[in-house]
Amino acid sequence: MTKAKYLFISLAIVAIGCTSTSTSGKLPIYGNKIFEENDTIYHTIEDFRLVDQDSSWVTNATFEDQVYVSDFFFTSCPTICPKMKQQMLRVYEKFEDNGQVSILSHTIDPKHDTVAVLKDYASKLGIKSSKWKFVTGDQDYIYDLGEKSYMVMADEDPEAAGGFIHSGAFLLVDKDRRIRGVYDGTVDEQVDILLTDIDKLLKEYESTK
Amino acid sequence: MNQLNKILTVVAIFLLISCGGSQGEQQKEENSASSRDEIRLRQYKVQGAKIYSTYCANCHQDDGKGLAALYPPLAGSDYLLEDFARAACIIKNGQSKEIVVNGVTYSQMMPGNPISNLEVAEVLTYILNAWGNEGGLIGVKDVDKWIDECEEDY
Ligand code: HEC
Repeated sequence: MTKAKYLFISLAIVAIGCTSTSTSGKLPIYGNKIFEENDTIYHTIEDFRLVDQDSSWVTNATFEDQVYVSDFFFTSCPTICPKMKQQMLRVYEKFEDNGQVSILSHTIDPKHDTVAVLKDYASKLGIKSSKWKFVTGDQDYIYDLGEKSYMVMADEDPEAAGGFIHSGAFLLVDKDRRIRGVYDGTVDEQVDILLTDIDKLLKEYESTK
Repeated sequence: MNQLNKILTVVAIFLLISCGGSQGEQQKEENSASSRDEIRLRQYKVQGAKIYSTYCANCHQDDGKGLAALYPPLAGSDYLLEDFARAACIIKNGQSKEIVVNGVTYSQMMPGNPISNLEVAEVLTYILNAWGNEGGLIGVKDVDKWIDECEEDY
């Protein structure tokens, strides 16, 4: 009887310990929340359809059962983009063999960055697999997607170096299309955090399976 | 503990004395022409490093290694070390024709830079003496002459 009690208490402690560590180890969920009845509805990436460097369609379904890192850039960018691409290469290299992680880079200069230009850029960067998708499409559509879904700003600005202003953010999106992390893609230390956050995010899915 | 402190103090004093000694010698040397160049080289490198991180490091990276086949390296670049005048022109005016650096072909566009000839001399001096490069000092008079004679075809 007393033995059973002790067992119960210690199990309870273990259980509490587990849940508390797993909640504190979870990444935050970004964006506005809507509370409906008993449900919380989180901000999600809306449906999209863009073309990648291999002329294939890229949609939400492309990232089914995957987490992905998203950013916005342009190939002729003289400022922060090369740095962002150098940092994104770290994500690519670390998760090269992990089918659950993808990268989605949107051009904000689709007039110049055609499929052929993106293809050339990707191959010069040394990207061989389709894990890292460089996508293009209608300019307004991409800006809209950036602003509404990824909450990053991009705009044409003749005054800015290269003709565009845009953010250097990397966004981590989970398998349920929710934004789980925002990082400065030009800063080494921020990308260090991104790399460990991706591991954490993948663990979350392991433990719910 | 106390003894350790004493030893440390003695060592520190020794170091101070010996450092002071070498500083005195340096001051004597500063009068000669070669050490004036030495000082100028050091100043150019400091200024050049600042210009480099503002205008160049995005593409060529902090370590001068460039980025894949998109942006060529400056560290150990045969193309850079082969012709300083051409390098000055590229820094000032940019370049987009196909070039081969250390056996790799590059053709991405490098934009020109809104910097003075003095700044070109400083940043060129920096990249010629960083990351194991040994190109020495580039004077602003040379840069003036080179920029005047830049080829049109870039
Ligand atoms: C927007 C990216 C970018 C920036 C910023 C940039 N470069 Fe370049 N640089 C390039 C590219 C691309 C090439 C190759 C151009 C070609 O193919 O003709 C190049 C070529 C060079 C070369 C000759 C090739 C070599 O590797 O030796 C030198 C020297 C050079 N850059 C120095 C600089 C310096 C100094 C700065 C800063 C004042 C700078 N660059 C800024 C992209 C850039």
